[in-house]
Amino acid sequence: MIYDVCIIGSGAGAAPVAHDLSNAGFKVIVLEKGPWYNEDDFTKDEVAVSRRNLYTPLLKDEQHVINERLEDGTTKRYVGSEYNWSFWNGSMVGGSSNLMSGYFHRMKPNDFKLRTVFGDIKGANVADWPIDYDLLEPYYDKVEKVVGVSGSVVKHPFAEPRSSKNFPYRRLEENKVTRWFDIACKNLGYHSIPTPRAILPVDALKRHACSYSNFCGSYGCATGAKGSARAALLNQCKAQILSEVFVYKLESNKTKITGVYYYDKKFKSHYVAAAIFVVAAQAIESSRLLLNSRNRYFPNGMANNAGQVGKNLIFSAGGAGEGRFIFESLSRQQQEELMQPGLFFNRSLQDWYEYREEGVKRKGGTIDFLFEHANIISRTTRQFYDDTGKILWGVALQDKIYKAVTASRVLTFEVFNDWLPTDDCYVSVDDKVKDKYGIPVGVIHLNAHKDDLIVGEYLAKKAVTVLQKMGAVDISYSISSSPPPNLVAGGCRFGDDANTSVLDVNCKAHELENLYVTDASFMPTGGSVPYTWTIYANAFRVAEAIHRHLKRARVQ
Amino acid sequence: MFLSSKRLLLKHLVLLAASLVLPKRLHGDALLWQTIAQVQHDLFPASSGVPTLKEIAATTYLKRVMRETRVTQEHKAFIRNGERWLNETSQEQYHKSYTALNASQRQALLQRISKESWGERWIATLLTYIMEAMLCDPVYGGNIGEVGWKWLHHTPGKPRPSKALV
Repeated sequence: MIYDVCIIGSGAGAAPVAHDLSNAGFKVIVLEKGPWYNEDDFTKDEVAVSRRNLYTPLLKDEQHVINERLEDGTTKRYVGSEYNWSFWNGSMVGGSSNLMSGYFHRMKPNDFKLRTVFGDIKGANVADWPIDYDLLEPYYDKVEKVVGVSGSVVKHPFAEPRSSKNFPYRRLEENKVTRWFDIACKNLGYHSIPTPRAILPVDALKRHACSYSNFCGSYGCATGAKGSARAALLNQCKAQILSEVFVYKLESNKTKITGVYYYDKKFKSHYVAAAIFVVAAQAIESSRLLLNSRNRYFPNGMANNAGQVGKNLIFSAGGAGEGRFIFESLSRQQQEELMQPGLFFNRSLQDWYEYREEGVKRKGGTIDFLFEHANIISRTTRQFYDDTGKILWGVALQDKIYKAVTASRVLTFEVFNDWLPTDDCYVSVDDKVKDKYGIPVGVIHLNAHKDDLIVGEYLAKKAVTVLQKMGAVDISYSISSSPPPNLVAGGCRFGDDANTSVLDVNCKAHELENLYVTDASFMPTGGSVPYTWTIYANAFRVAEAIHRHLKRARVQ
Repeated sequence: MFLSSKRLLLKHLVLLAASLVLPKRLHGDALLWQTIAQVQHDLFPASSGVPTLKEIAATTYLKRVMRETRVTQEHKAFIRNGERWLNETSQEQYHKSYTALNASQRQALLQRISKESWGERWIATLLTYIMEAMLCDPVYGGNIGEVGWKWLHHTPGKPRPSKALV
């Protein structure tokens, strides 16, 4: 059988394509490496999910090699399994969107033209996108309605233009401490934003409403309220989905992909033929698949005759911080408000999405505020050390744990700013380490631009002022160049120039007629927000381009 | 007791020497778990209102962890080696195994190893599994009667697991 479309991967970049094209009547097959879980499988099992990483491969079976560039210019090599350093997220049908918190922000109009607006930055490969915000806006809007985004639009200095007046779903229920936050921001002159969430507050879209389980991020959603690629799109389309199959090679002639090879879980090899192929296996793995697919026409990897595959890998820069609210400084009513479980703390700040400091105009970012994760085991293990860094045990530890968990609560914040693309941050494949299938693993070459840290520090200090104003104690933060494995993009940049990009404006490979890449790989820059909404929106946009492509092919 | 012959005397001396030099080989897992159970008591003692190690089945839980496939062999080896290094340090300082020390000697020894990198990491590891035993869903064999959740007024997320997944 020859499919119209074969999609490799099933996450946020894959599912919109599978959804729209299969429902339009095309024969679509989705090949996913991970298992197929459903709502009934998703329990709030901290041991399995958070402590044993149930949803990611064992590193002895599948891993990465990480080459970290050090300050002195040398590189240190880490084999993932030896250092327990994992870059996996959710290996399952629907990918890591099953496990996201669903903090949804659109990119801003200037994010699409950073080079034009802010100019070149020494040591960074900043490039404008080949599309602008206006072109992507209808697809952001489509995500709100099809995937389901809840929130309320408020005015603030960097609010992006919208074609719909408000979100299609009202805000989720909020903890009353958000009022403390709003008052603090008002007094500071900041603009408190109710964070939009890809979570349904009511039954809709053939899915159930949020149950306010208190365990959202890192966990699969048992009601289907979270807008995962699986619940929102794959469960509602006609695509054929094969789980637990690992695509290890693309085959091509000079101009077209002719088929893909995959291993099933018994390591038996299979072949799939299709008219169009879509790679959306997550940024690092998509580049790895292309680089591992060498042949006489593409000796350096598929679509890589210009040497651009894997280049300009980016993450979300920034970091995290926190402050603690303790009972001693609160009224009885405030204590009760603070400890109310289940309800969300959905607040963000974007006042410094762009800012000027010491005469330099900088691209800033987003700060999301949220309560410390409800995972009780990790909340206790965080109490193991005293203020001097000395490990505690015995009654001293028991008392510290009891007080921290029962008489205080931590409000955390996450800073998202641009990870500037550089020559030294990219993906290659290793010539020694192979996975359980015998396929060379991906090598992640890490390097962060110094400006990433400058901006992160600036934003974190702004977040601290809010926590101080709210009366938090034990305030701390950490801005580092450590890459968050769940916020990765780039590697197959889209652009108009085939010499400096892998994909064209429609995310089709410049060098091949029927290969598209629709996960976050296409992004030349990442914006200063979590990527998922943009990945969804762009994949819906590319699905339309593929639809046109298929129609043209049928006419011919 | 009088030994009946020189040959018997020599045999006992050899065994005695072996027990001093190779305590782990002779006692195997028995010594490992006897030591770990004692360390767990020393790290998380009985205290008013706090769940006891028996109530959270801390040692049984850790034995279960040592059989888990998602826990690496290196990590399991570290847990075992930590016990061996603790007893070696105990022999070096007190000429006794850890379980033969009195309470203040054991605490002093824990303080001593906590100043070494491996020791601090080993103590943190054992504490981590005590926390897991105390606060896991009871399907994993710990937190019997949800005693840990009750102590910390914790409401577990729903749905809860109906069986252990790891």
